[in-house]
Amino acid sequence: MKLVHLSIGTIGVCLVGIVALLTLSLWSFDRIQTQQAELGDLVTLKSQIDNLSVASDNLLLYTPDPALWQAYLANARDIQQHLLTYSDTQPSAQRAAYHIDQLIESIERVYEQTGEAALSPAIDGIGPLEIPLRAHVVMSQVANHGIALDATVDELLIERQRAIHRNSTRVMVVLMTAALLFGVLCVLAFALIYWRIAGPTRELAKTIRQIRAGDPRARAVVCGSDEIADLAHTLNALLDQQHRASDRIQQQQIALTEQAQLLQIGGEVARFGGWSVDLATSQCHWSDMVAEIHGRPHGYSPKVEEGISYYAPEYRDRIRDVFTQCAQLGVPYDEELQIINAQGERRWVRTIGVPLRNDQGHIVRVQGAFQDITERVSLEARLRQSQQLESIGQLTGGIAHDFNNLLTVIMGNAELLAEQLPEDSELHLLTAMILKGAHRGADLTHHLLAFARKQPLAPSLVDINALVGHMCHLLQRTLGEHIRVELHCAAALWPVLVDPAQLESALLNLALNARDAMTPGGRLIIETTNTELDQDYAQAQGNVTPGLYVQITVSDDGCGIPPENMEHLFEPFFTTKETGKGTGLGLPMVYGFVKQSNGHIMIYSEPQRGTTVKMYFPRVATMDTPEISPQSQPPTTQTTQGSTILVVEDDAMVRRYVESQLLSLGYQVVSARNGPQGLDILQHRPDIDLLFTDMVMPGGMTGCDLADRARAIRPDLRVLYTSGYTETAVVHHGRLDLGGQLLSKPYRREELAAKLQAALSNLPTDGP
Amino acid sequence: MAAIPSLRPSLARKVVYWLMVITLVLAIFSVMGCSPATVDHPPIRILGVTYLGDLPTLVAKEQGIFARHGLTTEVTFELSGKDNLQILHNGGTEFALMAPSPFVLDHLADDGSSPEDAPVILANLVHSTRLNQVVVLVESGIHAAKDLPGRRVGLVRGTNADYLWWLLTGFHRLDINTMEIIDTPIDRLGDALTTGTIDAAVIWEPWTTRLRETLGQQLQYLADGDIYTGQWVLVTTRRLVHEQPELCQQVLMAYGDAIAFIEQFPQAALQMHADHAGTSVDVLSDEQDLGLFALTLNWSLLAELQQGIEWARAMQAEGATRESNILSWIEAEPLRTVAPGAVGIPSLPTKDTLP
Repeated sequence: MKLVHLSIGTIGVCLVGIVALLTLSLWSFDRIQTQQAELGDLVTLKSQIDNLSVASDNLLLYTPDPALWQAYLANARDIQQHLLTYSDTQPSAQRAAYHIDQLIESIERVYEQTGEAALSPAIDGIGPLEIPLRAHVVMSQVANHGIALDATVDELLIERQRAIHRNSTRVMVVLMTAALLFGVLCVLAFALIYWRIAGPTRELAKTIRQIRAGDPRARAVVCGSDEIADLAHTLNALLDQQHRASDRIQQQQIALTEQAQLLQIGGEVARFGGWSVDLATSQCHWSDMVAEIHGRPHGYSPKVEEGISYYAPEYRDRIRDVFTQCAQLGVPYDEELQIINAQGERRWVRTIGVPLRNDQGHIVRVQGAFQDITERVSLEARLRQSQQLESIGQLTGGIAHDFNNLLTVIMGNAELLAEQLPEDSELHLLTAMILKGAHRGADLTHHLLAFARKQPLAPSLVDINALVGHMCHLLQRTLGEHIRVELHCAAALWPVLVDPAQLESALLNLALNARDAMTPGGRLIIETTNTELDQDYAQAQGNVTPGLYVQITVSDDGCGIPPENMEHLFEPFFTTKETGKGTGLGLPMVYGFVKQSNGHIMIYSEPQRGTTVKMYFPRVATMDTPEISPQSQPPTTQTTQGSTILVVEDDAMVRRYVESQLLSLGYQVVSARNGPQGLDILQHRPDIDLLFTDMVMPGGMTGCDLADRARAIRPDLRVLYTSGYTETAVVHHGRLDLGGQLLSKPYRREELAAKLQAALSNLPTDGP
Repeated sequence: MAAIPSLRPSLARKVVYWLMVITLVLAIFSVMGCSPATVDHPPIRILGVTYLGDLPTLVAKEQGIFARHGLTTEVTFELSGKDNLQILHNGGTEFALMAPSPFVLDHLADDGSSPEDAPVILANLVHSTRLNQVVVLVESGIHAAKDLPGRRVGLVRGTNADYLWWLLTGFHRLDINTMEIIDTPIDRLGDALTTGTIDAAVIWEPWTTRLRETLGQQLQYLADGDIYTGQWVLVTTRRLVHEQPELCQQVLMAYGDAIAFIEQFPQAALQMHADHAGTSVDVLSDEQDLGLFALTLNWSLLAELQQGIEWARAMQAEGATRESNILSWIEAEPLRTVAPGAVGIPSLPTKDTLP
């Protein structure tokens, strides 16, 4: 029962009790009043009887007058009737009434004996009994005292009766008032209890309902300082504490969620997950990512043996050994192994395991991390390959540079000898053989420099579709009719800045490789399209700049490339062709050209299906596009002989060779062995017409630096560069610096003469 | 209220006394506040007697009890009830206090020609055997009633002293012819006794005290003086009862309160009487019993009246042989209204209330 109902019920019972108590009190009071009235009536009756008795005595002493006698009789009869009213309940009243008759009869008997004189004035005697005066006086005196005594006692009795009546009335009133006050106090007490308990309790219940309904700000109303208020205060404090704890938990949950999301993101990005094995049951517990790496649905958790069975056969013993050592000896492990997932794909994984001990120090669980590192391993392999190619390129470039210097001297001197020896002489033949061998060496070094991305390029804005279209006819004739060449060009192809000769050379190389891989009836497909290499692809490849590219794809349906050869394709001199049919420099040259052109190359091949080579060249924005050089103009006939040329060359042998060649061509020659010496000469020799400088020189000042400082002194100074290979300092944005010409080592005498003539005449040349 | 120097109460009694005084004062104020408006009519004249039996009248006057009951009174004290009755007959007063003796003689002498003006008793106030005494000088040689024959006795004829003398002689079977009765005013009886004009005197308070103060141990009370039980009645006219019954009731209630005061403070009441009578309260306290003060109408009064009739017949008083109706001499209704228990006499039929 609710407190409010209990309180109301109690108040109701109290009210009923008060009414009942008042009713009982009134009934009791009425009963007492009635009994007191009866008692008072009896006392009065007794007093009347006493008076009647006294009157009877008096009537014996004094003769009454008739009126007094009749009054006496009437009084006696009244008393008698009064007594008879009690006869029903009090038998003694009947006897008392009978005695009154006896009393009256006794007096009448006296009067009858004394005759009628008794009722007349007693003149001769005093009273009807003729009592002597002495006795009469005494009896009267005694009677008077008796009357006085009776009257006094009666008065006393009446007073006492009244007093008792008053007291009883007062007691009853007091009792009734006390009962009423008690009842009212009970009602007020219960009402107060109801007000002090039920009201606040209802408020507390209301607050609790609000809390249950989800109102976190609900608080109990605190009234006063009683126990209920303490309870409400305590509840509020508890709610505050719970609210704070809830806030903390919520914040922690948010943090945990964020952490979990970050962990999930990290796991998804890094393909990283967790696992554990209950050694008692050999049951694995995989995170979703671990299951995903295994090619299993989320929530999949196998037994230990099944988990081990996913490892590639060559790694199963290893993982079993390290897991066993961890489970039995507590030795943690960190292994990079291969698994074969449910789809049959090989994946490189990194698995880390640590033991988990119970309170007794026993190993009860092995747990750890599991990461799919296939991409990383692949990237590392590509990086290794790239680094390897870079190392080979640097080595090759360095050798080719020095070798070109040697070839320059050899070729130059051989040409001089050939000019001076008769053509029919045996020495002339030997000289011709020297020149031929030197030219072959120059071709070789040219290929090596191309691979090493150190060949001099003359990039220009090229319409790839036009170039490829032109090449397509050439290729068809080169490859023969048994190979069908198809061309698919995308419309609105972006312009690219590339050396067109080198691009043609690359396409030719790829086509020849395709021809060698195909059987008659094969098909060579060349496609061009615009494409974008995104950040992910760039990161995955490791050495690619994300951006917009023009893609040139060369595909064949030949025998394809075995997977084990894929990583060696760009290595110089690696070839699967028969001896003498391939130099092993074709794909390295293409690789070096593409990379030197800031592009990207990828080869996809499947054995017996064919090979696809994709070359990517970066798009050139139109505003950055340089003006296409005007077409070659015929060389001027203006003679330049007699001009003064400053030769700056660090290699003394080459410097002497150049001096002799220039002198033989009719030029004035001034030589310097490095940049500062050349610059000093320029400051003192204003007659110098052209600066012929090597690009790469020791001492910190390159040929380009020298040219810049020389132009500061002599803005009109002509410059001709020469180099065993070109560095990025020579080629800016794929082009030679303005006002400069480049003569690549080794060069022939005619090439030197032409370059000098062009430089002094300020004419463009066909190429480096 | 007069001072009460004789009281030597303990602390508790003093506290009770002051509590009662405070209660009484509060009751007085409450009664004054609750009582009906003071009747605006001429003062009510009440004639008392300087007599110990008339102590209620003195107390009511001195304590302002009449005024407390809404009565404007003019209270005077005469020498005897006989005088008061005469003044009542003359219309000189509305209420008179007296002994039954002169009242009986007066009624017996009345021919009934003017029943409305006849005096009627409203209540008896006292019942005492000490109020009237037969005093002698020690040197007179009178030691008992039997020594009185041949002697001269002074008294006031027609008063209760005369009635006492009749009872005394009857009780002791004295031959009244052997003694000389000298009718002497009450205020001269002392001198008559000391001068030897009389040998014995029948007197009442306060004259007994005054003689005691004067004569000291020379004064002797005759031992059989208590043969007479003195009563003192409040008398008015029947007309007043019929015309102003409420007035009679108010007067009776005032007397009731005065008697209650006497019951509660007897010493204070005695002091009032001593002060009023000019006597010593010490002598009064030693010699006098206050008696039983109460408002009553009972057979004692009827017996007194009947015996008074017998006395009147014996004295051959005027109209003594005339048939009487003593119940008609009493108007019991006012007292029955005020104090029903105090009335112990039968009531007459209405037609019999008039003689």
